[in-house]
Amino acid sequence: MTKFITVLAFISLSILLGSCGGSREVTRVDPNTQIDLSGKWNDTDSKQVAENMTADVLSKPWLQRFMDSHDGKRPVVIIGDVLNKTHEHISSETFIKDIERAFINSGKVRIVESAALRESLRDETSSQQENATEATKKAKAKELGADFMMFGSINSIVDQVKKEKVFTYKVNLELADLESTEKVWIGDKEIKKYIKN
Amino acid sequence: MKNILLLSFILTCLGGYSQSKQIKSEGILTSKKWMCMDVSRKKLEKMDFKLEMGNELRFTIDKKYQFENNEYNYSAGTWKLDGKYLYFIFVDPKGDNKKIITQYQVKKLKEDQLVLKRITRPGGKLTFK
Repeated sequence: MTKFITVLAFISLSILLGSCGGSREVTRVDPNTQIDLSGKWNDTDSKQVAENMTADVLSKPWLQRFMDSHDGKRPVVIIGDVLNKTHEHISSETFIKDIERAFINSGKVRIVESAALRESLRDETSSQQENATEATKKAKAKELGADFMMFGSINSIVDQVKKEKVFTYKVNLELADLESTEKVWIGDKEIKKYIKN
Repeated sequence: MKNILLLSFILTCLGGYSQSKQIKSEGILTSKKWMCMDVSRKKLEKMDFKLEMGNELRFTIDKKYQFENNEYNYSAGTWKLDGKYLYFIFVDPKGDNKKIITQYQVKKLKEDQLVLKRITRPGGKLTFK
């Protein structure tokens, strides 16, 4: 009996100590705080790319030129693919959404949905033809045709010797005229990080 | 001979000091996003590209800057700090493919405050926090 109690006490103590050892501290921080843990691509990089690209694309002459040659009409832009060619998983959606938001907020550029979402919208319009009332159903083939398409890529280079690493990320975005295929803007942002373990 | 050695030592020290001051200043500039809290002259608020309270300025380590004003107009290009003077170099958005340089004097640079005096006309003072 004594032996049984001793074993039970030992097991209980082990569980207690085990749970104490894995304690975790969680603190809420300002989303704008720069925190670098692994040195890999993070939210700060994404924000920097978005801010840089937004300011660059909206401050360059292609916009004024288009408006001058189209009686002040605002260009319609569609966001295409941003290919991730890096060695890690990077979501381009975060900074692409920031750029889209800035385009819309500026009131100088109109944005249309991407190919995949356009299909969903078309399905909904088709459904409306049969199910919605005559007064509220939306007509088909009234979509806004884009004047420009934005696309690009994210590349990375890793250089490593023993405990030292250098990560270089390069984001390239381009804006091309859909009719003439002319490139009207190219923006790039490079982020270089030195990591010493 | 002694004097020449002393002079070269002093010059080296001064050069090192100004270089470290420049690195420290650039570090402060790139450390955060600056928001314009005060514009000293009305003229600056009436330019094509309006400079107003609430505008946001960001310097990045790769010597690029982004400026967003209250009308969602943007200015982007490169920046250069040369002693007390700060230069913004950007392409004319009007479509002339011409680089424009605006010059400012750094009147105050602390971790919580940046005061710039615009040298390029129209002049005036901008306070960022």
